[in-house]
Amino acid sequence: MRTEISADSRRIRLGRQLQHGDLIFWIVALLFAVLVVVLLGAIIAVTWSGSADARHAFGWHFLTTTAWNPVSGQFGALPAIYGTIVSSIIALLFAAPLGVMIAIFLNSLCPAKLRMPIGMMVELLAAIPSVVYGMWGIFVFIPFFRSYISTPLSKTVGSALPLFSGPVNVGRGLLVAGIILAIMILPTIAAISRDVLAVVPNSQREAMLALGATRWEVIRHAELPYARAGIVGGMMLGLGRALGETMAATMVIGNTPKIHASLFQPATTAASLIASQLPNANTDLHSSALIYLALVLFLITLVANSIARALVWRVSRTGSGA
Amino acid sequence: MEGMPMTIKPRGEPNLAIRFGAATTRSLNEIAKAGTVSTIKLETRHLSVKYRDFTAVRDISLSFPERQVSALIGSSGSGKSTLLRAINRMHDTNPAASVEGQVLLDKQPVYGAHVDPIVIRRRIGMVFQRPNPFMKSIYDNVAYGLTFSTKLSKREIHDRVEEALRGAALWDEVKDRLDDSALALSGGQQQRICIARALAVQPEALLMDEPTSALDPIATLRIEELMRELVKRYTIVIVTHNMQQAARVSDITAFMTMGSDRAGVLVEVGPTSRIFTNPTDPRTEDYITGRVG
Ligand SMILES: Nc1ncnc2c1ncn2[C@@H]1O[C@H](COP(=O)(O)OP(=O)(O)OP(=O)(O)O)[C@@H](O)[C@H]1O
Ligand SMILES: [Mg+2]
Repeated sequence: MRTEISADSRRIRLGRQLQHGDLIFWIVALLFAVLVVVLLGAIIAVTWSGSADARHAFGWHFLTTTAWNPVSGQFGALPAIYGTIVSSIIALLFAAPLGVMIAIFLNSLCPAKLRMPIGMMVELLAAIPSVVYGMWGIFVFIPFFRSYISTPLSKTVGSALPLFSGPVNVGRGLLVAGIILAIMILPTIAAISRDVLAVVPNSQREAMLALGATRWEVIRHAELPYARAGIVGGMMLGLGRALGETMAATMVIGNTPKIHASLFQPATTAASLIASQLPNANTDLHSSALIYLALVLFLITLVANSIARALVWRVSRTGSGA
Repeated sequence: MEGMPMTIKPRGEPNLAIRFGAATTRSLNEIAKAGTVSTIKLETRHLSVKYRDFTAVRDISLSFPERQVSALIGSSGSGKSTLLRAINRMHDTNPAASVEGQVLLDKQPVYGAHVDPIVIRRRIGMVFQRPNPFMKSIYDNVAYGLTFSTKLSKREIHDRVEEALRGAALWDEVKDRLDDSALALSGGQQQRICIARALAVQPEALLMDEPTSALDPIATLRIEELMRELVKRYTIVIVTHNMQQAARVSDITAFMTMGSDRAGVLVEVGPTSRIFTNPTDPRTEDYITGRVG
């Protein structure tokens, strides 16, 4: 009896909260939320079942072996994992400082008249289709890179530093891909950093200014610490995009599933390996291995995202995190 | 108030200077009589501040004696904050704001051609209406101004932090938790952190813009006591909406009002006791007795 009453009154309260359109809105919102979960589940289910053959054949060794030979049926994902992670980290190393600097410039140094046009141009970078980036990479950046960066570097420090050793005549390689990816994720990082810097409360800025801080010190000590959580979030979003980027990476990385010490050598990423081989995978094991690779890629991005979440959460909880 | 401007305006501005001149002489005499002869630490001369075309304060000439508390009172929008921020060049970073006239610190122009605003802001500290500590530890908040503005050793910084926290009457409350976040403190404590932060840079004067308006009465009283303590070493200018506060803490009171074109103008300045007991301008009387504003 009593539980019935309380359940009743709860229903009444809920009913009061969800009047008219509210109820419809609530149901629609719930549906979409459920849809996202279902979609995610479906993707996991498909990659899981599709990769069954390869999982049974290689197990965990798939992650640690380097041979990728469709003819002999040998599949090891390590080169693709290596290429994916290294090219993305290279991209982040270039794009993160640059993106934050662009954001700082747009926010506090740029003349008001130029703010809009420059900001829009940066955002426009995100609108360029990735196949165009790939083409630009092939026709413009790779020749430039070969003449002015990889050739001189490999000739001078290449013998001492395996990272920069030749040959460089192929042009396509890990570093080139990383740099192209950097340009592609730059707008994400710059735009998010700019937005979070813009909402730093003026009181923080003024507090610093009133202490006799220079403009740079205000940026360095008041704005950046305050915006750090959001900036890190922007970087991680950029990293996520770089990890999964397919077309541009496929066009400039060389698609060679091998691990080289040198950043000038062709390599591959998980996404580009899948994209370039899935259409002509003519054994079940081959396509199963590619789906397994997709599962691994999915996990990598999941881990990267979780790290980002944890970072952002930690940073926002402890304030500056310094 | 609507009918008045017509009668005031024609004689308003020239009179102001005369009235001000008289007021200053008188206030100095009164101070001299009280036995605390004081030099002028800060001074504004015909100071006007514009936000683009809008004149927010016009032609303000005021003297702030050394080691005294001067209170700026006046209705909302009369330009008190605008005036205060002109003194330590906080308007510099606002491209819309322009300052005319002079501000003198120890008789030297604050807006001189070769004057570094950074140096000015270190010499004239500022405390804001809302406590605005950094998202840092208590210690770092107070030490912050030192870490980038000076080349002090760790030891010296530590001493300065302790001195500043003692100066802000906060040391005993926080000495055991200097590493805690400043945001975990109460509003009143946060405001005293902000005062300590300003003191740590060892300024000569302190500008305070409604420093207690976000605080409860107890915390307010503590800050007021603190101001009486601080004024033994610093020149203080405070903006306040609280008449009792002005009466309690200040030695000099200046009353500002909004002119007919919404520009803030100075009505009257003098020793606080006289302004509150025997104002010469009817507008001052109306304001302090609560009939206006
Ligand atoms: N940054 C700004 N840009 C444009 N106008 C401003 C700016 N700051 C203040 N003003 C205008 O200048 C006038 C004076 O403002 P100010 O803040 O100095 O008044 P106040 O006396 O401090 O008022 P309150 O007692 O409410 O703090 C107001 O009309 C205000 O709208
Ligand atoms: Mg104000």
